Amino acid sequence: MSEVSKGLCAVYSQLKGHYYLIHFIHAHGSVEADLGWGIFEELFGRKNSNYPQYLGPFDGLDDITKFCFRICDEAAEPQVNILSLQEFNQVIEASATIDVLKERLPTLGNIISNPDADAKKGLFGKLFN
Amino acid sequence: MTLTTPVLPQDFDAVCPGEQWFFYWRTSASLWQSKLEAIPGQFVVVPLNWAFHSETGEYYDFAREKPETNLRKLVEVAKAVGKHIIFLMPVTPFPFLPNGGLPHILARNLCINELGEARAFVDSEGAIHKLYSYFDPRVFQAFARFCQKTAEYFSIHGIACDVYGVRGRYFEHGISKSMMLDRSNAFEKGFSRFLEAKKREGQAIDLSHPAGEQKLIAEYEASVEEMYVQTAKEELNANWGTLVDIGYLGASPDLMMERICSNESPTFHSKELFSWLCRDALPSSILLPSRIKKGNLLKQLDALVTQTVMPRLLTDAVYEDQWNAPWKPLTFFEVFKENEDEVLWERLALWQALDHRYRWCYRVRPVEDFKFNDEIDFSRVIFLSGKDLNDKAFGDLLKVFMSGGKVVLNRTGIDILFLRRFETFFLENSLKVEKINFHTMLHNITLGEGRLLIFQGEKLPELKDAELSKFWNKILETYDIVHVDMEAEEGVDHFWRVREAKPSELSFEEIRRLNLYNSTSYRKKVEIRFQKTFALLKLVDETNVRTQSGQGLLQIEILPGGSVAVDFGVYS
Repeated sequence: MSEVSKGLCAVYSQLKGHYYLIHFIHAHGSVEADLGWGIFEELFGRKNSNYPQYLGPFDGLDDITKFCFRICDEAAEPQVNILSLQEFNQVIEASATIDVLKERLPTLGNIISNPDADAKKGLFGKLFN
Repeated sequence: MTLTTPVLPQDFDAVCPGEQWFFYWRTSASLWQSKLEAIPGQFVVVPLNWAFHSETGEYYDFAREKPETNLRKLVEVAKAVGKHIIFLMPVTPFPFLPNGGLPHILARNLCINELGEARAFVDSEGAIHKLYSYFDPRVFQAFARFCQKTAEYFSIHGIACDVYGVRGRYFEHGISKSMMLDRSNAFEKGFSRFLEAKKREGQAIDLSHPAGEQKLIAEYEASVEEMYVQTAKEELNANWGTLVDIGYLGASPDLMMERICSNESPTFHSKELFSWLCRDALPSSILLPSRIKKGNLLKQLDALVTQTVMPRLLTDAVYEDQWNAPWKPLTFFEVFKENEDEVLWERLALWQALDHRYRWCYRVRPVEDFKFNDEIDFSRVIFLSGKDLNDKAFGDLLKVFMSGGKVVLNRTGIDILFLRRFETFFLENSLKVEKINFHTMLHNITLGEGRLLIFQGEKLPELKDAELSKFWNKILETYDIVHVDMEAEEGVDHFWRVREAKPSELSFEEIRRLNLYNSTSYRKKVEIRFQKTFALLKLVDETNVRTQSGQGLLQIEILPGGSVAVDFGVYS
């Protein structure tokens, strides 16, 4: 398993004045929608959204960080890195294969560590292995 | 005895990635024969790789330098092994090629989608291919040159194979999108020029609301796509077949992240496949890794794509007497939408209602395809939105109705003038308008076999799910559609096909085949009840199934990974 298994990776974008997570993945795929929406509602309440396919809307980057860290903590993942869409586009443009992308993704953006995480396996690892 | 080079499975997948496709640039010309021989069937689909023939878009190599650019030899080799070649000319980017197939010097404006996300696709071997804008005028000029050079080469060397134009499509959150989609600066500049031209022509431009802007964008996109299609068609006129939409499986941007984690679901791709079939597109698994293409997904690709849709869409390319592809998807309904982004029918819960008893037995079509012509099938129920009607569509709707067609019209957003014209038409023809208030106001008009049902859609979204479901079920029941009743446990995929009865099956009007697939890890049950108008004919390709039949009843138990096809004869 490559580096991406270390934690979570979130990509955010700004749409009509609000922030949304357009990708939110762990080592085995996308973060489960039920978990994501559950935590979102717990933190920010229920909000109307023009883009129901994406997690959000978030009022600012602080809210995204708070949300991502909470998921990271809930899933006992060791880290979450939060990338802007521009950063994500740059890494896509510079990666010729998914293996390269997999290695680069966890090293980019704002990396937040979760020292309390299970050093061996987070929730997603337990679910999928 | 001949000495041939053995073809390794992995190598074969790279060159022959499935559904009769052949990537001539991925292997030495000296190995073409052995690889072509290994492709089953009579025909081979060969996409033309623009960048392989030209690095700059100016100078072209057709058998001058690289032996693998020798398409005449390819045709000859194929002929020698009894294969018929069909060339595909991309009028939108090919997502399985670097830069979408553009010569590298033309790959200047990275495509981005409406969110600003770079448009990239992962191919079957894990390579990430970025797409570059087709809205760049330099790309269009170079494309015209590519078509011209290809046509010249085909003409000089007497290559008579058909060339089909292909438009790529992919799903994003369940919405079909064009491979040409772009919102980069190249697109924005072109769109500005388009608006300027409209203004100069004195046309009114309404950018005051998002829907107006969206309409103009769609018009611009369609006009640019049409320029590519027309150029290819004119230049390659002698070889031109027709235009085909290809729906790529596994091309969703969300799925790219699943790809990174190697966590793709074959079941998801099955649904994509069925959805493309409902849009009359040719599904393609070219982007999927071979580890995914196995089991039921592989069976579906073979039965539904290679054996059913491909021969129908590429029908000009084969001699009819050598061709035996009688099946076509079974269709009871045609639902017309203004564009793929429109979710009006979703809001009215039509799809859930159709899926309840007629899953995948419908076609989703763009509203501009709604026309009265010889090809119209009056047995199908047509769903139209009143807001999409224009003079032509209104006239065609009446013609369909008067010719015995069945139309369900949502009058929400309809121009008041059309409502008045309806009233006049009903009066002039002394047609009785039956008014029913069932959750919303319904107007039912019949004329011979023809039936027009007009309803007020704006009230429906206020209903509870159960009420909406009841509403549609009641409406659908009134159309007396001849079909079996099927109860299948969750996780069982199915798809219906139909063919005409053969001379030996004259007592039947048609033969319907139901393909059932259990792609789960659990045993699943399916129960089919059929009336006297149906006769159970046979079970085909049974894999891990147990069946039990009685009077008008067929019970099937499908073990994990199992599948079966059931043929029914339908009496007239």
